[in-house]
Amino acid sequence: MSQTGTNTHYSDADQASNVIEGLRLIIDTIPTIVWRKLPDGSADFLNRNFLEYTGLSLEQGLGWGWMNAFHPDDRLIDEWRAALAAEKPFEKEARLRRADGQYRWFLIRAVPQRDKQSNVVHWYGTTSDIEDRKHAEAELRESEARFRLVADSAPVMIWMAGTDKLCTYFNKAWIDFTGRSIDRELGNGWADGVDPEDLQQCLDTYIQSFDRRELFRMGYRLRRHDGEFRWIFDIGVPRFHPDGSFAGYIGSCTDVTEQRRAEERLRRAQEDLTRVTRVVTMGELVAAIAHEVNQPLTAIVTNANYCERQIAGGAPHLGSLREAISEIVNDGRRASSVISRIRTLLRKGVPNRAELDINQIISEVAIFLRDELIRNDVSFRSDLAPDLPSVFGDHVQLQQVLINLLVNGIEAMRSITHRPRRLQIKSAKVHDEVLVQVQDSGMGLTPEQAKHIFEPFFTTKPEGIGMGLSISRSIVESHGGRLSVEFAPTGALLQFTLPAQ
Amino acid sequence: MIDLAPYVFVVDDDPSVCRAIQRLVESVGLRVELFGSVEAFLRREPRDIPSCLVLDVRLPGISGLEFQRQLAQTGIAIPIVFITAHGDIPISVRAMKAGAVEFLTKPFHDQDLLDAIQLALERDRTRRIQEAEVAILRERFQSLTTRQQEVLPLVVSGRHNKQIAAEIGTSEATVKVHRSQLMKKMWASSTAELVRMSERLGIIPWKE
Repeated sequence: MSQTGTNTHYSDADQASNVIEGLRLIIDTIPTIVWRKLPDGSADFLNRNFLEYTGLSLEQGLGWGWMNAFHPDDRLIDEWRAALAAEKPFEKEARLRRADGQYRWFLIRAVPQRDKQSNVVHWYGTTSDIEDRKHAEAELRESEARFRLVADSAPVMIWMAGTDKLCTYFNKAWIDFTGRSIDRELGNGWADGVDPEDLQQCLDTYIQSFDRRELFRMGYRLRRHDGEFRWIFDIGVPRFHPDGSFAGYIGSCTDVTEQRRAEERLRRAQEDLTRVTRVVTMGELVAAIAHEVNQPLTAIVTNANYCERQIAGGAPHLGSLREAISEIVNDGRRASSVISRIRTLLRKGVPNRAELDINQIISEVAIFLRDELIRNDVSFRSDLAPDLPSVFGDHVQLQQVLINLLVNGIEAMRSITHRPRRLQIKSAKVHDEVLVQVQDSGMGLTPEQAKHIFEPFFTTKPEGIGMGLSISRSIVESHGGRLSVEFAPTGALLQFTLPAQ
Repeated sequence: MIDLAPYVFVVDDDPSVCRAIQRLVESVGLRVELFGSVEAFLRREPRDIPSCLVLDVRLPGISGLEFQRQLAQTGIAIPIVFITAHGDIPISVRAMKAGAVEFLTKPFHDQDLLDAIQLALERDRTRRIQEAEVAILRERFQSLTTRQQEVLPLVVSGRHNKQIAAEIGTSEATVKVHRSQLMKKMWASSTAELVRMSERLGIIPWKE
């Protein structure tokens, strides 16, 4: 090194020497490589860290020797030349060989020092180990690439937003869905695709949740590339940095249009069923009542016919005439009392007969009653015979019968607490008929109850009107079948048959 | 057979309907017996008199159609007039297919019921006469000797005496005697009449 004090007083020289020693100590101790180069690029100073790291001696390093420490691909000769020529500060990354032969990444920074005439006299530089940072960066890059790969291959649409609520990322699924370029989606652009009807509610949810840093779930219609608005289910989750500071949101969206349609269809089917059930119940109620009213009417008409005949014959038997007339009066009262039990009568719907698969109807009804079964803690089993012949009948009416029998079974088990509530339905082919059995594990029926169970207005339930089984029976019979109570060791067993097609 | 006033059996669980039908039907000179259930009907004393059954389709414990099936299975061949509060076509079709005389919807026209009852009684009468005739023929057939019973199917199959003789291994003269004897015992004036009688008795003509 040539930079030592000369032409000074001794004492000054001593003092200067101390200062220089101090500076050298600093330069050799700071945890980085420090060097100085001449304007031609040759080194005229290298600190101890350089020598220790590279394992080179000072002589080996000075001049152009320092270049041997650089990775052959990273010698940056052109860059150096350009920097030296331009006399502008220099900053580059390069790999330097450690004494043990391993290369590590370094950041090289250099600034020119000029004299009064502005000529570059020296270049002062540092070379800092950035290997660990490089690794971290690479890891981050890889992690980012991994995220993008996952996000882009995921079947859901993914978005990210910064702390300013502006969206900074949309995955491929989103772009594919909207068919618009990423630039048009970023920021607030995505909101252009939201159905105007849903936009306000969508933005309200977004902004409010954002301000509260809360997870949100929302549904809105988003325009697909083909112009169709599809129902989207969007979940947004706030993101936080490791230090707990807010980092924005990440969200995922699913197209739930088909699901919503299916739900809508199911809801409509249930509404239809409820309505139809009500109508059918009323219709069958009328049929049951019609039977009750028809009996007195038949007696009335027959007796009146008899009276006509007696009178037409010219020699009426007055005693029997009086008898017949008094019966007419009684039967008239009887008919009216049946009617007065029911205030509203609906016209009976025309049955709509078709070839039906009873197993399919059982499955449909089981779906409708699923909630009811769960609510009542009933375990349900269906044992359906394969290759069951079809029956000819009214779909809704037979649904009604099955619902009636199953609901009856469920209700019969309400009081059962000490043993499992089990409801079983079976279908089978017996001779030329299709047999359906419904068995519950309830209290069963007394012989007296079993005798009256099909009579109109008979009920064992406090809230029942006692028409269910009577109606079911008239439906089954109008299909040419029979509904009956059978003996069962536990619970009640109701069964009906329908003629097989 | 003495033709007594026929019986109309009415099975309906409604006593008022039963009485009204009884009044109407008795006014045309028929006898009526009422039953509240099929069990009560089955417990009646059987009489050898033309009769028919007026049956409600919907009865306690059993449907009218089911009862119709049971009667047929147990060989009770009483003609049935169905009455029902449901005017249901599939049921009526099934009832008619199973041999019902008529299917009337309540409340029915009095003349329709009376016509149906008359038709039912006529069918029962015819059936009874036919059954009586068959019974007589069966008696006559029973009066034949074993040999004559053996010869009869050969005669009705149109064979000549000579052929029959060869079949049963006897002389033509003997066959001739058997033939004239069995014709006489069966009260058949011709071979053609004997063929008709055999048909009614269910005798199958002898074939090679």
